[in-house]
Amino acid sequence: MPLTTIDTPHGAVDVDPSELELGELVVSDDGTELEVVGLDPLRFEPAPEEDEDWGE
Amino acid sequence: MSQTQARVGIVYDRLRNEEKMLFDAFERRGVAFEKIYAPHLTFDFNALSAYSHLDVVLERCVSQTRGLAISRAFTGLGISMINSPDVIEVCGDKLATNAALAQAGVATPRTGIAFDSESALELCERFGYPVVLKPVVGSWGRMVSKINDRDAAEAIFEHKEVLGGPQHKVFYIQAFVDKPGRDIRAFVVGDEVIGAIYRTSEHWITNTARGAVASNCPLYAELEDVARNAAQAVGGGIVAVDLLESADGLLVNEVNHTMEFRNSVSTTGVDIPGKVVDYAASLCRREVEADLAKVA
Repeated sequence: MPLTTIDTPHGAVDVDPSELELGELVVSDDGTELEVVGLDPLRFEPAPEEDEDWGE
Repeated sequence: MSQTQARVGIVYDRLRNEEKMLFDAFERRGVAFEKIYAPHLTFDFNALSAYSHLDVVLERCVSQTRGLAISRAFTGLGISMINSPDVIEVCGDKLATNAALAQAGVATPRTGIAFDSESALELCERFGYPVVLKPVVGSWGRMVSKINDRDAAEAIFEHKEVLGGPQHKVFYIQAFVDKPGRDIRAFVVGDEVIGAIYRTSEHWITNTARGAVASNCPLYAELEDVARNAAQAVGGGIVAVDLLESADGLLVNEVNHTMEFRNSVSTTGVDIPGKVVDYAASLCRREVEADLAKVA
């Protein structure tokens, strides 16, 4: 599917909605890292920053 | 294997390359699975049947706190976890890892803990500089400091005491191991060491998250033995064991319970996500057989 431009409060993102997964990161045109937090409807929120307990 | 009803869940928060590779591996092998996005997950211990369609859940959260809580909750519902909450708890805490390794007789760098600056300084003097100070909880080489002398130690310990939170009241100190510009990461799935990489860097920290370069490390008997023993010491499951080559042989530096492997599949030629899926599917089969035995 072609890319679709979606406006968010943190800038616009060019994505193929059919390919997105929850938890995926995309970067908006204003440089904000956004996390996909909903698929239907599609929702993005600023991705949480790395925390002290993050790791492998 | 034909597609069957999902018996395996894969729970994650941040979708990294590893999780995408695991999704692909499940699909390639025809093992039905369910993606579970951790931030949307709820548990109701009065509704135990909510996840009764799952036998096994693979925990892949980047947040160790969240991953541990989820592993505990699913275990409470009678679902087998990869990894179990006990394994996550031990691997997520360097002190607990050290205790488990020491109990199992697995060699590690000389390590000690102290609870105030004065005793921490005493420990450093006993080990001899340089020493390495690490947070007890942490990963990706974050906040790991090489302390070259007493002046640096005094400065860092004062900062830690004044600025740090409760967990910074534990001073976790290791003797510095003069490794050959690299360490080894061995991937263990169940009882099998499936592959290993060298992580090479000009910096003394050799995490790939900090820019180290991965290359294949052929398996050899000592490496397999030490890695397998370390994995068993922390409770088994699927782990990555980080080892240092030293004059005294291989030393286990860390054991990671939610291993990253994006740079290691092409490097080793080992289908790491495929091995993970095979292991999860084998646990599923065991669960189903156990259920059938109960019915019979």
